[in-house]
Amino acid sequence: MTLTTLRALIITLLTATLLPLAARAQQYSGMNGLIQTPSAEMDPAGQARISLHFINHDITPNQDLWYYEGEKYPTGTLSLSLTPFSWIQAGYTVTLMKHAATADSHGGYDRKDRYFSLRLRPLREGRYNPAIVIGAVDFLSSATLHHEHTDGNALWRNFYIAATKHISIHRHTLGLTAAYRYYPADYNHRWRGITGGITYRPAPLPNLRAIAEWNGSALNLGIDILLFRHLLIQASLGDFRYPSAGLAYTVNLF
Amino acid sequence: MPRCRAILAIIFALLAVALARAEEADGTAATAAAVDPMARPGTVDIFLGLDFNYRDIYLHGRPGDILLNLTPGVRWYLPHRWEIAGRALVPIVNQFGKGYGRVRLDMASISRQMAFRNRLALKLSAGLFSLNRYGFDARARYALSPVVALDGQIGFTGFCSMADGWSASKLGRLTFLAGPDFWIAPWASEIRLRGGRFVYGDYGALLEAMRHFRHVTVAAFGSWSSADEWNAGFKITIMLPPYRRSARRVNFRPASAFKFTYRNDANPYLNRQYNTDPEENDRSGWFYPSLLPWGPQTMPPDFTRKPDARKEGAQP
Repeated sequence: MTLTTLRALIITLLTATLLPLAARAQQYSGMNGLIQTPSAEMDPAGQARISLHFINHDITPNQDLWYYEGEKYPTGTLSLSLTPFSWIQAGYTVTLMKHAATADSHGGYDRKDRYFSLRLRPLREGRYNPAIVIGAVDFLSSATLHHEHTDGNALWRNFYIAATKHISIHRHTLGLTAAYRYYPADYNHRWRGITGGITYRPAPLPNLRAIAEWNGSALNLGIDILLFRHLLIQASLGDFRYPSAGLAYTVNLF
Repeated sequence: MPRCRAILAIIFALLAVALARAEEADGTAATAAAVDPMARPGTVDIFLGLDFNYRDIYLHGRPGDILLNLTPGVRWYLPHRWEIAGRALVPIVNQFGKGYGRVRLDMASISRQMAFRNRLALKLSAGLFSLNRYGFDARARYALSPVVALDGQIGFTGFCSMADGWSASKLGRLTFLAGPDFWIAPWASEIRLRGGRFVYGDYGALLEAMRHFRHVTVAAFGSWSSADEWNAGFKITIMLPPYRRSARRVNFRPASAFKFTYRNDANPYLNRQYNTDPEENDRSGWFYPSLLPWGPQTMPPDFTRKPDARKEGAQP
């Protein structure tokens, strides 16, 4: 088998497995977006996903709980999300936390942080106007439920508004995203303010997306692809140095 | 007090008989709803399900505790919508502790469902219910319109558990819930508000917003309990295949649904209510779908019966 034949076979196999539903990204939180930056893209109604993600320490908050023996540590997330209607998406994320040994525990990744995320799209993308999404991450904590006037353990809490516009050039698609994000906690101040990114979908592989984003403090690069209709894979480099990656099973419930 | 309990039991039995007669007089039993295609009298379903429980406790050197039970069960459909059903719990993964590790009977109940003028559905049950309760239970739905229905439930129960030896209390806990249910047909969505007294004695209210898909229902809920606890979470109900079931006299199948409830606050004693049916879930509701076609029961059914091959063959 010549190299050309092999290449053609791989391309044919890849093309055959890619179906019309485009990958719309998978963040470490399981929600739509770029890598660590929110976007205004939404899944179709009924889309559900369950995802696992390895995240490097550059994406975790600069807070005591994310340090172990004086150093920040990488961790993993498990998330569930659902788009019940095309204008709303809700998600739930569990992030493993590393902990020093105690009398009851050997230490290590034996604790977790949990949070809910919510995104609403008041404006759908039109011919000239971008889609607008407003969102909240980690907005509901145990402290809130118990009327405690503290942030509790809302380590990831942030609120944002994002706008995304897609431009199609000869069936190649360019996506432009700009967002304003507010993190209440000072240890996350580096992600406050204007963020954004650019995505590119090549015409021959519409389910593949290349991403470049500015998360407020660093430039991240990434790629995601939807395979076999249900398997969504994302890999990224934070600040050109720190690799993160994850996969999700996605299915439409209709 | 024992005399009161006996009187209540007699009243309950008399009520069941009176309602059954009232239903016959009403004539609804003669309608198509009289025999649900999934509940043909004389047939027996033997099923096996999975009961997944998770609690957010990190005191045992792990991020959380898991309890996984197999739930073999049986359901015997009798004439006039009488039914006997039960299930056992067979723990296969138990990180919850000693009290959850035994193979035990979880539910065993007899029930009767009734319908009146295609507006009111009623179910009376007696026996061993979930959450280690035994006693009597009545639940009803009155369809005010295609959009609004009123739900009500009242139960008189005691504690009965086989988890760690046999232990039981006398009947004595009165529970009741009532509230409206709104069906938004274009969105296949349901908003349900129920308030009253829950099984562990707390008073409270539960607001649920549900979205029904082809075979899956997802709900978000918020609750308040008189123990001054607010809570929120989500529920997932997945109806399990095969969606075309055989029509033999004895049928073996998976349980109808897999369900999972996540509560932000893991307190297991607030805003909880027992089930009287081993396959009860938020999607199917309390009654046979054909008994009172309202709300989610107006959607295409999750399950249908395969044609009976012997009957088909007998036809000319």
